Amino acid sequence: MNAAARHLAQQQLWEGKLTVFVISPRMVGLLALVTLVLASAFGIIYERNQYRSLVSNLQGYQSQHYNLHVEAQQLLLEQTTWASQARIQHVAQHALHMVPPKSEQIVLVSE
Amino acid sequence: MRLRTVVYQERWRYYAIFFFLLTIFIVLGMRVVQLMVVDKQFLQKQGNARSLRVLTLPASRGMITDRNGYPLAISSPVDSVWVNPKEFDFQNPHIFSLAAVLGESQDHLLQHIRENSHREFIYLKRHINPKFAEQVKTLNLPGVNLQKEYRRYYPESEVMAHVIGFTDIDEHGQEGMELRYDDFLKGQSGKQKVIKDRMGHTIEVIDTIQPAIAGQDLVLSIDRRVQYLAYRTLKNTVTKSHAASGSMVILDVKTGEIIAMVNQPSYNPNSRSKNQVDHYRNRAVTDLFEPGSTIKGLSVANVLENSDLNADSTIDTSPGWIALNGHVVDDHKNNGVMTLTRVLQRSSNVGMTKFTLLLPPESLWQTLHKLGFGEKTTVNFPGEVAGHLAAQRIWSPFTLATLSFGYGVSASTLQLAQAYGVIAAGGIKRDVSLTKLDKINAGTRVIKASTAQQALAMLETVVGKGGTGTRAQIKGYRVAGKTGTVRKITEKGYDNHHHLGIFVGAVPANDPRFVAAVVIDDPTVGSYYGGIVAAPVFAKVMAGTLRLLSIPSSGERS
Repeated sequence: MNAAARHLAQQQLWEGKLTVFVISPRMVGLLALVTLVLASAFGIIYERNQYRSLVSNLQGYQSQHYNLHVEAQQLLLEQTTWASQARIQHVAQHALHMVPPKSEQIVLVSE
Repeated sequence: MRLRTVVYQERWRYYAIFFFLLTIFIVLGMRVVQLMVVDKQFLQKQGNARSLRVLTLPASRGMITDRNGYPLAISSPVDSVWVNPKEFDFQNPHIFSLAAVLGESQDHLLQHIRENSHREFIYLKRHINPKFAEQVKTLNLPGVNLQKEYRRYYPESEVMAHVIGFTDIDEHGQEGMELRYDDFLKGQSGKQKVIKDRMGHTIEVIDTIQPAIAGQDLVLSIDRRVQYLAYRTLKNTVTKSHAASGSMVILDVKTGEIIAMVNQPSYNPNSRSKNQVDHYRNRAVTDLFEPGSTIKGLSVANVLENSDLNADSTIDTSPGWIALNGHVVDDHKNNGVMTLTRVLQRSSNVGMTKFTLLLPPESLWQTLHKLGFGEKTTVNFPGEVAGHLAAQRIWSPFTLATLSFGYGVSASTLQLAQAYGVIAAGGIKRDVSLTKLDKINAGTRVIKASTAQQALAMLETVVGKGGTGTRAQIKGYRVAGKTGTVRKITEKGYDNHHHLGIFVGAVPANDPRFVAAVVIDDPTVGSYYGGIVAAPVFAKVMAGTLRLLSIPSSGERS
């Protein structure tokens, strides 16, 4: 390829006039390859960029997921602590003054 | 050809440029070779060290829930603060704030770091609240880092402590179900190779070496409401009677699941340092006792199973005692002629002995063995004991007699409940389970249905009028059960001052759903009789259980 290019260039230099490019099939093939190479190069650049921004997004979501997980576990812990049997008993007895009915107070209704 | 001539004439310029460029290319090429081949390893390593990181992906431990999915053990994310003393700046003005956040004195903190200055990793404080962790993060001290970890919390605290057990600070199961199902509960932390940029952000995931697998949730067969009721009632009784300890087990007869398993004394698994190690034991499965009179319900089943005798067969127990191999077996008084039912109802040692001696001597051992004595249960709880049920080559009448009323055999509370569970289930033995079962275990028949049925009817008379277990009656339900009062063994033989009060029974007696065993160890205030100290615990807890689990009333037996 170098030889061909040189040849063309020298022709122009020393003949002192521009030659019209001859659109030979070889030339077409060459241009197509160059275009493809460039396209794939830019494609890779784009993909890499895309990948990195996606990874960074994913990271954001993962940390969000973790934070939500932390919050969920803490809320669960809070819920279970508030709803522990010992506390229910305490509130029923001391705050609401509830008492279990005595056996005389229970009436059994048979079906 | 003019062109050719021109080119030819200017050839030296062509070569000059050519060699100049060639030299540049060669120099560049050599440099490339040097970097790519000669220094490759070194450079690759340096590059990787600056950007490649292997991240540990933490996996959380599964929850433990009760049979209705209510959480009983939760892993909550917390942070641990660690420091690299080699990177730590002792002159930093914010050290004071760090000490304040961690709740320690500055001097103590600095001393701790100085003492470990040869290391690269020491914990400053483990398991701190994420709020404080955030504050530590904002201080941004060099060498001070955070590590994400999990901490185990037990919301029901001492009520569930014995069954669930606990984990150590690194979340490895140490006791109870946490230990038994450690592999099932624990997740597997993953590893991921990533490229990080200068700021510490991950920019590329190279490879997930091992994905993080979260631990699975374990669903217990325990119903936390029943468990709480049992715990509170047992605790009351143990406290009031100044007993040394107590245990209670409630079994679901139809499935073999353990609905509740409680012990006294207990401990708080959330802050263990102050607790006595002795309290960690799940006595219901780890502690053995001689079941005493409670065995009689099973001895009676053995009589019915292995002879033509029935509930109304009679035997003369006069004069209230019997001599065997130079030992005396006696009742509190002379009961005269008794039916088999009456022997059970009045808990007559002499009657039980005489009936048992009518049978082939090895039959009692076989029956008790079939009912699960002398063998570990299928729960396979850490520290579980098998108990003792020694087979004799030749059964002396006295050994056989003592076995028939529950001495010379030892069992755990769970085993006692399991054996009565067989009677209550109509002779079918189901594997007991501490985890909720997906499908009901069909079980295996170990005694005849008619035997179990008759034994159950006789056990009902024990709780009925004139029996020893009247205090186990529950309004609106029929109850079958057996009391037991056992003298404890000490180094000097049987002790007349230390007793066990036991009650084991099934409700509702017409179609048993639950079997419960209560053992009160060494009650010293008030009565020590099983019928007086243990039976009321049974009645109170089971009345609540029947109500909580909506078992329709069966009507009292007149």
